[in-house]
Amino acid sequence: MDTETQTTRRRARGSSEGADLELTGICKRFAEFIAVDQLDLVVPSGKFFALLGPSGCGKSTTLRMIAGLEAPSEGSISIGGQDVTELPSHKRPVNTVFQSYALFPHMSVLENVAFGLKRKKDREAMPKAKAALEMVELGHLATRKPAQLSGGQQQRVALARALVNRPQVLLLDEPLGALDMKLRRQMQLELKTIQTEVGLTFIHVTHDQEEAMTMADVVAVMNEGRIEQLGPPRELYELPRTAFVANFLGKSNLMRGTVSGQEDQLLSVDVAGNRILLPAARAVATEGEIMVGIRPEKLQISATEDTTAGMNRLDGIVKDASFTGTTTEYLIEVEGIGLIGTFAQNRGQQPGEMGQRVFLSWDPVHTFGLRGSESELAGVEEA
Amino acid sequence: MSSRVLGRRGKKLDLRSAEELRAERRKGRTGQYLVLPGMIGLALFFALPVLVLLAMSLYTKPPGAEIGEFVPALQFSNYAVMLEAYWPVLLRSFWFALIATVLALLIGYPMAYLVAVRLRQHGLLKGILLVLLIAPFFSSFILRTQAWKQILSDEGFIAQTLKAVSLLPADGHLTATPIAVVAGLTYNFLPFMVLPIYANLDRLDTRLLEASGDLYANPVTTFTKVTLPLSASGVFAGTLLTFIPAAGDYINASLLGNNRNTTMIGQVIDSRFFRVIDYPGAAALSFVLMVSILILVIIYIRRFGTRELM
Amino acid sequence: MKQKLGRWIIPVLGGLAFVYLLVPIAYIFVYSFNDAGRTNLEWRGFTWSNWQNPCGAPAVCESLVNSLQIGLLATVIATALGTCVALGLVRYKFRFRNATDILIILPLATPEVVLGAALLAQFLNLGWELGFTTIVISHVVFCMAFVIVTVRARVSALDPRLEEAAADLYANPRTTFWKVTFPLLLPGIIAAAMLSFAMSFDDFIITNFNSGNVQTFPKFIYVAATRGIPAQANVIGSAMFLLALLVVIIAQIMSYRKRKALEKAQ
Repeated sequence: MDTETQTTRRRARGSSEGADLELTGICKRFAEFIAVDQLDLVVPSGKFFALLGPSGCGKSTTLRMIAGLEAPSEGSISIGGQDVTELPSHKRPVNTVFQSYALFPHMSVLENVAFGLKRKKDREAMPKAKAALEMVELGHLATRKPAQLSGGQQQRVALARALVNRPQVLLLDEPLGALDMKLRRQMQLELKTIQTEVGLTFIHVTHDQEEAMTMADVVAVMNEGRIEQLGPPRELYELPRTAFVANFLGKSNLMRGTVSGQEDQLLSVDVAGNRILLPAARAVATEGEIMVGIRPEKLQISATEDTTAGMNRLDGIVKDASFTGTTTEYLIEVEGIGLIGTFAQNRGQQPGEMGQRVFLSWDPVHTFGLRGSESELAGVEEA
Repeated sequence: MSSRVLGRRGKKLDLRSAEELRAERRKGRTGQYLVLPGMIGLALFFALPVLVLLAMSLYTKPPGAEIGEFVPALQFSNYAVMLEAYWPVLLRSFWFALIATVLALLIGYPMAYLVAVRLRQHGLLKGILLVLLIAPFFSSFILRTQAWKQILSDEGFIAQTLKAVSLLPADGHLTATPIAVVAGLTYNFLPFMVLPIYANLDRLDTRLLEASGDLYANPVTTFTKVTLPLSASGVFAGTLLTFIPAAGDYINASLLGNNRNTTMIGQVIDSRFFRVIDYPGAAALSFVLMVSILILVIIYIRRFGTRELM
Repeated sequence: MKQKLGRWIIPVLGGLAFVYLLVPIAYIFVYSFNDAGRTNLEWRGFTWSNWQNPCGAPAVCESLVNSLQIGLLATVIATALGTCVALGLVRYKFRFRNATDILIILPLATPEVVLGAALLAQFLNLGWELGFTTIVISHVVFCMAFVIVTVRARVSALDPRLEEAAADLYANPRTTFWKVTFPLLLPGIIAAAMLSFAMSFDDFIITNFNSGNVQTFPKFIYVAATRGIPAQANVIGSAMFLLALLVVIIAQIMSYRKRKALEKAQ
């Protein structure tokens, strides 16, 4: 493996530029509640890794265990091959950018940034802290108290305070949650740039799926203490393996059906009398009752029937059409299935108005298949 | 739907147990070392003394004993004797303390509101008024009470004026009356009323008052429906911190009262101890006072209480 | 019209209440300039002599020095012990929690005369001679309860993430406490200490039970009240009041200026 050799080389050089993070069989139980359940996770060095999930899914608890702020009930944590499970927080080569920043209110911005270096008895604590502040473009505010900074500025101070220590792993606990939309987008880009520059391992906890997808190399979707699915954002989006991922990460149309046959690696599924095709390799279950999924943007909507061979087809009545500028979003009632969502680019065409019958079609290669035992609503409300 | 409910419940548990966990994580003995010295102090010089007082209240005077000589016994009749002789005084003490508490609340609430809410933007003035609440402690409680006695004396300006406009009969007094005692109690414990209410109102979000006004509440309704309920725990603490010392006080009664219809229980306990040298009697009365205050406080907490006092 | 009334009623009522609070202090101040002779009851003419010679009356300065020493000592002990208890109670779990809670709240719910009497009974029982030590002990008891309650509220309000952030930034528990926790609690601790000192300095009832022959300033005045309080007592009362006012106002102005300057800089 490429990453593996990279890390070994790094370790050999004794560099602190990021390290593999490995969680093995991590469990965290509180009194009568399991926050994290048998979690196994390897984050290769130098990756931007996002833990995505709704609130209460255990992602923050996982982060706190990596930071050493909570002790796992079971399992072990290692960083760069060294077991740190028993190591207290202040001895771990890990730094955190806390949710709402946790800047020390009684210290100046510069003192905040220099705090970690001073604890490590770094002789150049002050110059390094200053340089770190310059890097986040806040050098001119070094003598201010945190309360005198705006949210975005505080966020950068928190980032500088963590980064300046050159930790092997940098943890970000919803660091952009308190910022407004515009600032958020800007900070997402900056964070990504900084991560590429410094080459540290970033673990980013968030409940914002768009944030996770734009920033991370690898995303792990967490739900109820477990990792539902892990992979690069595109893979997760294009091929969700559970209903929760399908609904939480973007939107999905999920339909129940029964597998009626297989030919040429294509499953054919009977969905309320309609024959839907999907590649067997894209299905988690290949027989009996399964759930068929398709992303809204993969659907073609038109007033006339698409007769191209090999396409999946459905038809229904337009129940709702809302104009959003670049696109129009449609809700279409398909008999025996329910509401299907899709949208069309506004290129002047008008596929259908309220109450009209329209035709939907899509290429089977975009279809995915999930276990029939799942609820099609899993993850809908959390998203 | 059900998964959401579960998630919600899960999250709540998560929060509570995270709190527990923080306490749990700091196991070890540090906590005990921190708490122990203070607690031993309170046990030795509070809990034990109260028990000694309880024991002493049951002592008896042996036949032919000298003054101040008592032997351990279980003389429960000490309580009967004391209660029979002094129940009106005990009642009066509570009555005076109650009136003083209500008056202090009426006077103190506007003070606290003025400093905490109205002067929120005027840092300097707010600070100065806040200091004025505590600074009187340094000019001595007794000196100030004595000053009131002088100010309200028959020859004083106020009494003379009131007599001149016939609000006070020519042979009337302002001092040596129950009114003077209650006024003194009100005055002396006012800061104990204002400070907790201030601390509470200081955190009041004034946008709530604007919201209330926006929702058609007039200022009076806003006060009774929003401000007052939100400052309830401050009022609660303030009334307790005023009532308890006022009920046991004897300085006001002895400096501003006339010893006939103003005697308070503190005076009796003091004189039983130091003049009559009746230690068991004084101890019994002390204990009665303590227990009755505790009962009143517990009823009050049950009725209006919040846990915030803790 | 109604609006106007509403706007003025609070400042007027509150202002009057402050005047009421300060009337006797003004009286004490004015009569500190009285050429009083033995009793300072009626106005006999203006003089500076009381202020020039504040220790002129017998025992008045001795009692003041005693009160200051007792106040200082009781405050230091009560604040130190109380702060430790408050920290321990909020941050650590241990047995006998309910018993400790009661032991903290009960002194606050005990009238001074009962506490004084109980302590006297205890000291008599132990056979201790009443004096400086017994006064300090009794003051520590009632001050500590106040300190615990005040500081505990502060500790509870402290954001635990700040301490976690310190630990995350390589601070061991000791450093975390001294660099983060303690500085953040300090304003609360100072407020508690000031209140302790004020209450100790002004206490009469508990002191009267447990002081033996030692004079404190309140005790001196109480005893003097029967024969007439010397004008020097007014001088000391006024001076202490003004001193307290001055110290805190200077501190206030300094922090106010600093804040203004920072606001300007922004």
